[in-house]
Amino acid sequence: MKDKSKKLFDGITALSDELIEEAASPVNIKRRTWVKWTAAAASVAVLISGVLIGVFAFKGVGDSEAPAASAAYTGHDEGSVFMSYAGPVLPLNALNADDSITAKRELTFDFEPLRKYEVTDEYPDPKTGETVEYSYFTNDNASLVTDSYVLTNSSDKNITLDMLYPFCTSFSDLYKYSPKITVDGNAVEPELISGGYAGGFTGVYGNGGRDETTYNLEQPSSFLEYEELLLDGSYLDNALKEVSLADTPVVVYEVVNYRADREDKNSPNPSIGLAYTPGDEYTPISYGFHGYHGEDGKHTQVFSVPHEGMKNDGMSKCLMFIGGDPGDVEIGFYKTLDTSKTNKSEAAYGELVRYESTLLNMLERFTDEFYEFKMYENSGTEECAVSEQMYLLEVIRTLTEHGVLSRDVKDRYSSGWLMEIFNEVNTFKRVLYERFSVTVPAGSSVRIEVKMLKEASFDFDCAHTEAAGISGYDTAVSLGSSLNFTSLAANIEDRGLVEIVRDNFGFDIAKGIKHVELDTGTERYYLEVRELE
Amino acid sequence: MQDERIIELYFMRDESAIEHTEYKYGSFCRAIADRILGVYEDSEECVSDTWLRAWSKMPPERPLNLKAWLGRITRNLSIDRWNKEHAKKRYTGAQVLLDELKECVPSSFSVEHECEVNELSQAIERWLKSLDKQDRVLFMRRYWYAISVNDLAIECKANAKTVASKLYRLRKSLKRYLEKEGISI
Repeated sequence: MKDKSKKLFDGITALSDELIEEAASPVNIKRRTWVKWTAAAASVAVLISGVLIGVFAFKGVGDSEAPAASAAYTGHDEGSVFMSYAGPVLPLNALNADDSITAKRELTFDFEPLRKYEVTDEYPDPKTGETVEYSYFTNDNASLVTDSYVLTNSSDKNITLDMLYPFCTSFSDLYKYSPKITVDGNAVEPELISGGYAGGFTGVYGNGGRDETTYNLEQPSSFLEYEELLLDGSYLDNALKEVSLADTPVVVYEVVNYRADREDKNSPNPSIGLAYTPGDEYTPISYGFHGYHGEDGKHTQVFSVPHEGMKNDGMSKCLMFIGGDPGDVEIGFYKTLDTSKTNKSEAAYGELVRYESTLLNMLERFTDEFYEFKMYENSGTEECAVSEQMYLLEVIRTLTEHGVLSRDVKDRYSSGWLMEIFNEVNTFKRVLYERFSVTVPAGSSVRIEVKMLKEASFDFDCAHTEAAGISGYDTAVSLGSSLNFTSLAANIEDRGLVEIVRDNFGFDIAKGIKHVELDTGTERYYLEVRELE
Repeated sequence: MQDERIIELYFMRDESAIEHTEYKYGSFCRAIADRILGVYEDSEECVSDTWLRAWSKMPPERPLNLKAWLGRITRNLSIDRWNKEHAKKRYTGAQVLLDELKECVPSSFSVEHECEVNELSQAIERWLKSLDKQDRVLFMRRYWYAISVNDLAIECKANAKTVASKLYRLRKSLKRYLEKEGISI
């Protein structure tokens, strides 16, 4: 193979003077042009993760290789750019790919999940208190994707492959979009591996705006961003790397037995604050605090005392210091989150306890507690698709890559409030991997079938954009995979529920073209459909 | 000095031709050798050898574009050195370039015959001319000028991953083109 590369090198060496001259000076790479608005008010500087506010208008494209798409709209010669991007269906990968193994891939997009079904629920009538039953019709904005592979071993020895099936989702949605894998019809029980946050950070005014801060999340929003994320293999390497945290000692100040008296349910929540003298030698990091005030050379971290029965009632309230102890931490009680001296309250109570621990011990405790208090909110059940251990490791990863333990602390996490990281680890878009092994017998084949509900990319209806009402599904052909794909085919099961708005698969439902053979050299296939009335 | 005048000096067997060539194209050839080999002494030797090769080829050859002609010689000498020495020395630049080019090698099952270098070069040229200028220049700067992805990113005002992504697509596109043309390497 090296000789062949060398021959290509020689072929390039012999290219004409004209081409060499033309390339003597660089040209700028034209980026896709985005027009994007975000909530500009500083008061919403920190967006709640998972809620994307923005309108993206697609103006140009860069891939001259993309086949012409059906022209439902003008201005598109490849897939739309959606406000909520679900990420592509990614290809199967093998960590120890072998030249003797070839892979044939076939995808099926089944739109049965778009069939509406009736849901019955009930609520207590506020006037009479009686239970009122109601029902409505709904469906899943998703496609049931079957991603099948036939791996063939042309050698005379059995080959065992360490397989990875990557997929894009968040921890909070994992229970819905987790793939199910079979090998020759037998279900496998893969190991789940999580990649880190797949996106980046942007300023208060969004990417290209007026500031260069990193207060907002910028979740990945296009195929190109996933391509950039996965192309060089570093994201996967990082996912496979063991996440660790040094046994960092911390001094902990914990507020225990906290409570507050309220005159009525409409009166403001009293708050409890811990004031300390800031210093360069120690770093504050807190759990359960969500307010901050600086006055007279003191910093105060504060939390609003939850109502009895609230979901977060009883959660830990810990202010920790890494690297030292300010030694002057004082507890204060306030009428509201305003911790000025004139706002003191006698209606809040709590005791301050000081002890020493390690950050890892504290994070383990918080993860345990976070699971008990918060995680059931994910799916409305107490079952969670992600183990506590995996959650803890991703909290540590975020803390060390973007939080106060990072060399590149993002403004978003500079307060040291761990609860922000705990919450956002849940909703970060990421690539997860299902890992399993397969033995392909000598001179034989095995069939691997992956079935999963694939959420659609879409525009929010209220934005009234061109792509409103359209559901998009991207497929990456070989991105990040070391398998040698020799053929690729795709099928659509429209179920009479959708029409194709735009695609480069070549489907034509009206003409009955629901099976297509595809080019393994094209990296991206897109399919955009609209539900039929 | 103008290229025609330098070439004339070669034809007159005036040794100052090499001095003028070194003055005008020394840094250009040195950059190519250095990007391919990454070992200063070896790059220097390749550049010196380029002047010797130019001296022995002119006359009878009379290059239409002296810069491109010298650049080709340097590339050839650099890759020859890599070929001879890579088992002993680690030439990172060439290694990475060849690894990337490996992705452009067409699958053997779809080919009709094994082509010569000239035929391959003509096919690559046809493919390059089918691209828009931005992609064509990017490919040439990476695989002819051997400029690293990071340096390309800086000069293109793009991030390195974007450049890597575009090059990846271009390699796949070239592979596909060569397969369609029925070219085997």
